[in-house]
Amino acid sequence: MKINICTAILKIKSDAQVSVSGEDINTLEWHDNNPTNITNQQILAKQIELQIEEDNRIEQDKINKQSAINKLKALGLNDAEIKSIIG
Amino acid sequence: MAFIGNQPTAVPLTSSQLADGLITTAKLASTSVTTAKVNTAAITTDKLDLISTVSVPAVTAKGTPSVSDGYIQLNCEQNSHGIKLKSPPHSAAQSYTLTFPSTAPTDGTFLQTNSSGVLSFASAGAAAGQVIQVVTATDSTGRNTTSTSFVTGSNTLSVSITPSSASNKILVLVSTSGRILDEMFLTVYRGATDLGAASNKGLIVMNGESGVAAAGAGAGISLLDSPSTTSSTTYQVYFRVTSGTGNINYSNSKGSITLMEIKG
Repeated sequence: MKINICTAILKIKSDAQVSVSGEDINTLEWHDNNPTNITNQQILAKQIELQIEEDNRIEQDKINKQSAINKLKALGLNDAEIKSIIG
Repeated sequence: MAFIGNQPTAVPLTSSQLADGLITTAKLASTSVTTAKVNTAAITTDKLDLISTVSVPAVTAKGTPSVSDGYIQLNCEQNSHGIKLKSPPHSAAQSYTLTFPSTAPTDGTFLQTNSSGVLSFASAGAAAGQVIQVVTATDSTGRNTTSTSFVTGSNTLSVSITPSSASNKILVLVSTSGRILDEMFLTVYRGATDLGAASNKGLIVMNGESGVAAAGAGAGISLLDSPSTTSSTTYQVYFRVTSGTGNINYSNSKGSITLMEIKG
């Protein structure tokens, strides 16, 4: 999942009131006048940080899933039986 | 019998023998010029140069008491058909004048009159319930917000209309798509007026499963508004969230807002 700008801003300030068009940081509209003066650089840095976390989480999910499959196979389950369990 | 000038002869007088102005009305006894004395086709259009004055018309189509009101007939080229322009009956006691337009007709117009009987060409008006005009705007840029108060849903999901009558209505149609983790409300503003429900409840709400999964869906709004104005009026999509991030024109899908002016 792609981390959007608004999600990054909410991670910096959970009650921020902001809108953005086309995921273009230059279109940011602060409806609360940005009281803590969050900068575009902070937002983009947070977005990258969150995206790395999200990508790592997705990758770890894949690893965990494959590990689970391998363990189920070691227990003697065939592919159809494993599929019926994990989808 | 003595004669002054030419002695009358048995042959008809020719035009050269009749000086201009010689035969006046006073010299023609009433009903002296009967149909039998006028040859068929003797009176050509060249001899009919009828002149109106301020108080006397060039031609009067007289009526016949208890028989018919006066009328004139315009025949087809074969003179086998004709249409008639006819006076209202005597009992109506009307003596008005209809003056034709001073401008050339244009396609699709009809004749209308003012209180003086002066005619003009006018565009046909719509009947109640008919669509008079349609304006629309589209936007294919996704837009996110974290605002818990209504904010503009899009830079371009905004369109203006100038109603032709204050009694006409505006049908507002909106189409977009959205994605939200919690709650997202959509509404339409007319100028600075929220046309949605009270307490910022908007016109529609989209619900995700808060904290678990985001929901995406198409969203459509239809609203019949009564702006009661003939001034240019702007309608625009607004949206807000309860928490988290809300999105419209999701994944840069095309949203639209269309206004139809409906004859009231």
